Amino acid sequence: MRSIVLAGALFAGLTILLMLIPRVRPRRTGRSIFFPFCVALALLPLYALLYAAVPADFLPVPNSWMESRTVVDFCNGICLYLLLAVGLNDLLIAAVSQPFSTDVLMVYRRAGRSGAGADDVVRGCTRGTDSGRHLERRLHHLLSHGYLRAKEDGGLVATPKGLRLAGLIGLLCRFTVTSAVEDESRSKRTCFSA
Amino acid sequence: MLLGIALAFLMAPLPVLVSPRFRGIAGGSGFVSRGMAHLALLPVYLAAYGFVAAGLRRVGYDGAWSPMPVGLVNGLLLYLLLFTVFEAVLGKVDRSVSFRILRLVAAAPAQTVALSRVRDAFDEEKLIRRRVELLHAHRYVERHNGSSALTAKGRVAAGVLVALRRLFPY
Repeated sequence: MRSIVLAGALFAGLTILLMLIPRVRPRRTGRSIFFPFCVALALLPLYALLYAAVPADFLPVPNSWMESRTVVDFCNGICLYLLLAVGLNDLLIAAVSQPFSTDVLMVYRRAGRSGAGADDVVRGCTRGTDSGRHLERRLHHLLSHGYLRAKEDGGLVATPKGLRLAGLIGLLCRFTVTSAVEDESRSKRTCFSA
Repeated sequence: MLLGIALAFLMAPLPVLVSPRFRGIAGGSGFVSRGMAHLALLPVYLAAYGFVAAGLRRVGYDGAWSPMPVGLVNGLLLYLLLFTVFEAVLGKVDRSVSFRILRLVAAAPAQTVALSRVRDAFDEEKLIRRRVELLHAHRYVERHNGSSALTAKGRVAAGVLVALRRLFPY
């Protein structure tokens, strides 16, 4: 019981901290998409300190509700806290890292009740440029993190690290449910063939 | 407590395995399919907990695996939260353009493709139009006299996203 309460309290603290960090220390360049999870990991020692400081019977609950084995209870709190942090990180990636769907939704929101045509959405998402802002950002990410390597003739080569990740993605594709609309446009090809 | 924890970790992968079966009901959405599968198998988790707990009581076992009320609630919480881990990984596999680029290059002869081929395959306009179709298919947007506007569901989703961006301005 102690671990559940402490994990919940620490997660609440993490959420508040993640709201405060960009206000206290704003940065011009974007942080890593895993930044929230890294902050969560950095707070783990605090969980250990709190667990050691708070007595096991601090809540007025029956003894049968208390886990008698400290190791089990302690590890349970870490699991709960990390799972909550993964959920928050995933939510923030969806909301903040500007995936296509989010950008499209924002264009419709700005258009209001009068609505927007598909061409307006394309213009809104590309900011009127045809430079492929989203694609360039993703290519830059793949190149800078060593998944792809640029050749002198303008080609792209998958690095061993990239090949390992591609193999893993191929394996995980078996358990995904790709969208019906996307499937149609892919003409029933394999999971990621373009 | 250990019983709930162990069962949560053992049973949480099952919904991922059966989630493709929910595709029709979920309108093709990977996120909804996995969520529905996770919730649909919740009674199986409860039944498994009850079955094992009854077995442990019958043999008079009083060790780390012995059941307790908080153990069941805690196990349920873990089971539900494990969904976020699967979603964090499989959601990206479902939707990530970066992953698709990587797969395209890795599947090419000599694992090499021209940049122009990647630009053709992942033409931004096509990708945006495909997302517009998806938003229509999942009823976030509906057509009115040649243009499209957010539905009530879409307005809620957009409002949540705006609120999140304000709360977490990264």
